[in-house]
Amino acid sequence: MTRHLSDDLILRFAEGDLGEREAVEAALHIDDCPHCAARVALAEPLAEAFAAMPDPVLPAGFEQAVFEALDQPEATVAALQIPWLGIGMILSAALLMMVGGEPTAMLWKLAAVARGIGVVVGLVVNHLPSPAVVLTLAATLAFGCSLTAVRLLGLSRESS
Amino acid sequence: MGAHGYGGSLALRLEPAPVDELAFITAALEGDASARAWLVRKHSTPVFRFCLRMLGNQEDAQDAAQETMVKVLRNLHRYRSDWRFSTWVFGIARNTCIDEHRRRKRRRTTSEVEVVDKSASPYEVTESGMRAERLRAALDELPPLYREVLLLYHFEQLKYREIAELLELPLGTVMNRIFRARKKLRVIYDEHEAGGNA
Repeated sequence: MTRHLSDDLILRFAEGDLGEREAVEAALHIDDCPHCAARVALAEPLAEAFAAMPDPVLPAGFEQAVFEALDQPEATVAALQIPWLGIGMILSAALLMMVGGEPTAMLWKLAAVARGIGVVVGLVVNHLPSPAVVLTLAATLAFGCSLTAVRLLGLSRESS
Repeated sequence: MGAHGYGGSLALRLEPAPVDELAFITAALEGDASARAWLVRKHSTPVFRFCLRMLGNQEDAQDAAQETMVKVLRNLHRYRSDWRFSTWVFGIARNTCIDEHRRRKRRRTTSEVEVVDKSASPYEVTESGMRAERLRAALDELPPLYREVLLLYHFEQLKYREIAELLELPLGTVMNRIFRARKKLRVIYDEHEAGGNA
């Protein structure tokens, strides 16, 4: 469309009374034709109200706050916990299959252990050098191993 | 038909970011602090204006605008120069406002209802001020889906096909949405006008 839009088309466009095909053709023309874009703007019933809207003032210190926020590390702990939660579920499922037990109780255990492993591994990944986290992980693993050992010992006694 | 069906992408490629802005983007990517400051200075006001009109609250808008500008600087390497830079920035602002809107909904379920000062501001006393205030109130009542297309076109001067590209919608769908949004806005505006004159 190279010629300017007719007055009728401009009015119907401003009123939103065009079919989709006509509207798309008109919109593509208006995008590239400042003359027709200005005519549509004038035909828009709320043109004066749009023009009267005051521009908000940017709060003082905004730009400085952006650069301060930029210097902060990105929050990735929560995001990283999600894949680790999946890995935690697989590990805990394997662990619980070894230990055995009632199916309903196993589901609850699975959920609790999966969450625990997910959080611990996520924390280790994000704060590896922290001795407190390494100690917590070691304690959790030791606790899990001792539970498994007690359970296996109990099973072997039952079978004998 | 996708967003590219009416040649939206091609049209955007014909209008790349101005050369001087591209130079600033390149310099910012290379770590030039003054180039980053220039980009923030240039785009902060439009982004804040868009966030304020989308969220209708100064504090939330400030947070969303700040978050947008941080995301823009952190993700500069993802910007493709066949888009207008401002269109790309508004895409980020829009997503941030959607997230902020969700967060606000969650907050509202647990906290008391926000108290809004409905008294007339000095600006409202003039005729054009009253018109603008009626429009602001009508925009606030529009569903966000309608509000965003009107804001992007009427205040941020995006082209119709740029809005289609940004929303990842066919241009025909965007036009239908804009037409419906304008009609609904007019109905709400007229109701406010009738209420004000009564």
